[in-house]
Amino acid sequence: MSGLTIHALDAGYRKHRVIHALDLPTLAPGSLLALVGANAAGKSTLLRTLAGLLPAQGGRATLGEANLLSLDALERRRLLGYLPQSLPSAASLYAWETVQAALRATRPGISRREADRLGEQLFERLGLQALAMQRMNVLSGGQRQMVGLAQLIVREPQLLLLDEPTSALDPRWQLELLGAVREMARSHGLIAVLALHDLNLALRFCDRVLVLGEGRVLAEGRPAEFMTPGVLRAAYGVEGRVETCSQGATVVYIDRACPNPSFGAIA
Amino acid sequence: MSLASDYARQRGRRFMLLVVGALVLLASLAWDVLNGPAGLGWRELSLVLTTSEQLDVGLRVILWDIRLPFALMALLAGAALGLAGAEFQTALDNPLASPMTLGVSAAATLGAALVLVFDPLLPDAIEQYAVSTGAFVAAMTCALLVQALGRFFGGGAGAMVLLGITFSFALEALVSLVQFVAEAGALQQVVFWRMGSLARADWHKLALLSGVLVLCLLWALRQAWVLTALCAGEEQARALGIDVGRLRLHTLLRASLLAGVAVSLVGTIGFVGLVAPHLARLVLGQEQRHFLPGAALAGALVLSLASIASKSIIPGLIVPVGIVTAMVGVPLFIGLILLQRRAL
Repeated sequence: MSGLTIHALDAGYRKHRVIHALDLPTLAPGSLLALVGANAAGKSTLLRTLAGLLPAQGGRATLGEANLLSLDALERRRLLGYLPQSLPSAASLYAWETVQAALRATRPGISRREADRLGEQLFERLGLQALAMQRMNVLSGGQRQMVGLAQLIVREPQLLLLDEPTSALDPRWQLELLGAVREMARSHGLIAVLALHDLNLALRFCDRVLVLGEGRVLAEGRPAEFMTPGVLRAAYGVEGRVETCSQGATVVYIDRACPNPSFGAIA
Repeated sequence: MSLASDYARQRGRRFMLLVVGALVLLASLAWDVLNGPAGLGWRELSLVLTTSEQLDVGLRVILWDIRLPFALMALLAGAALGLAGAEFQTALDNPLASPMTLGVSAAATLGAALVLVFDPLLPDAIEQYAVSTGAFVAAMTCALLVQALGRFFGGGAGAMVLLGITFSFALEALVSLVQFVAEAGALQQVVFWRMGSLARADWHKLALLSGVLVLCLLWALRQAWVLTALCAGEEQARALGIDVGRLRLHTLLRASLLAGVAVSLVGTIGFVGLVAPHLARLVLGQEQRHFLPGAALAGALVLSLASIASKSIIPGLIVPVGIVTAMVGVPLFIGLILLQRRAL
């Protein structure tokens, strides 16, 4: 598999265009891209379009040779894994069954032995063994979010599309989840695209960051290279500082909301 | 101990619960057959099941033409309504969904009422089939119409439920209108039909209902993993590449077929389709390979017990079973919830 490339992508809901002529230089296998930006900037719309849940209105998106915008259902299942913003239902299902259902619903020919093996491996890798025999209706939101991730990666897709995967997680599990995604990407040569609100997590875990504002690319590049107070003002309408911490990492501090925000214009 | 073997133990426990449920159901069936104004004992029952030569004609008629069809119809109609309810609840992601929700029951009532009120000249033998046919055609027409309109409005579960409830109200109003213009005799028949009764059972109807039930259960079990994935969330199922609209269409058509056939044969019997899936969910969870047969079993048990109660409340008289289903189901449901709470 070679990388993910997006060229002049338009997307949205019927007559309402949300994403305008979006370009993404090729993202190499094994790397993580963070999508950041204010609410309604188009992050979820971009992910849903790449996942095939929304029809594109123009442009191209390719994963290696495969055209992501015209995949049939089987190819889509094989190549893509999408984690929606909503949590899995609080159903009367064991976490183990939820993950097994994801596997066996999408790979009907798989043997029980193989499904068990993949399930065992995954619960161990994510450190979720203690949750496996608990019902989803007694799990916390964060635990259900972890099970949602397990549902996704048990199928071993090549492109992971994660919509705010850390929204319900405490700091420890945020690190666990993003660490697991990064480890999988590195070891299996996967590509992960994550919509994140926490800029520091985006800077810490992702190889590239794409800043969206009103459906357009405001900035794109390696985290430490382009994150500036001007980008924070343009993307979020906030005053902030970008500093290097004692351990050498780039850290963002948000000080206050701008009195007169000018979204979209990087000063 | 591996996770897979932990889960295998859970699966074994559920299987044993299903077996125990089936044994309880068999006992209930036998009790239902023995229960009635003409006193019969285990001896007669065992004779009728082995050889009927030693029984007199009267007992043979009571057992073969009345008691057994009556008791088996309770079992099959209960199973069909329980399975239909489970499928409605899964497909619509709504614990309050039942054959009533998409207007299927109300439409069947209207179909039956139209035949009873406007076609009173049919001979009795033909009329009961005409009523069932009218009820079934109306039920399926309503189910298809709600599906078509639901898909037109985007196919979401919320839109389907809203449409179904709206249709139910409209159809109930039409039934009232039909009753309002009906002659006294026809009105009485419609009122009786709405109470639901197992007395209309015969072997042809049993064969039809058991055929539909077996086909629908096998079809549903083939889709069990996909339905389980849907239980984990509609958005999650779509993200897995499952065609949720198509799956929902299949499931609702199957549930409507089950409910439509059952209601057309026994009349309006509420509550079973609502409570049986809850009973199954409490005991077995929502993994559909266990949940669907469990809901059918629970529905069969509730209606079989209701059938026994219907013969026991007023000595010498059989109360229409639709009246007593809730009386049997509610204590069963509450008892099970209390047992679960104690276990936690």
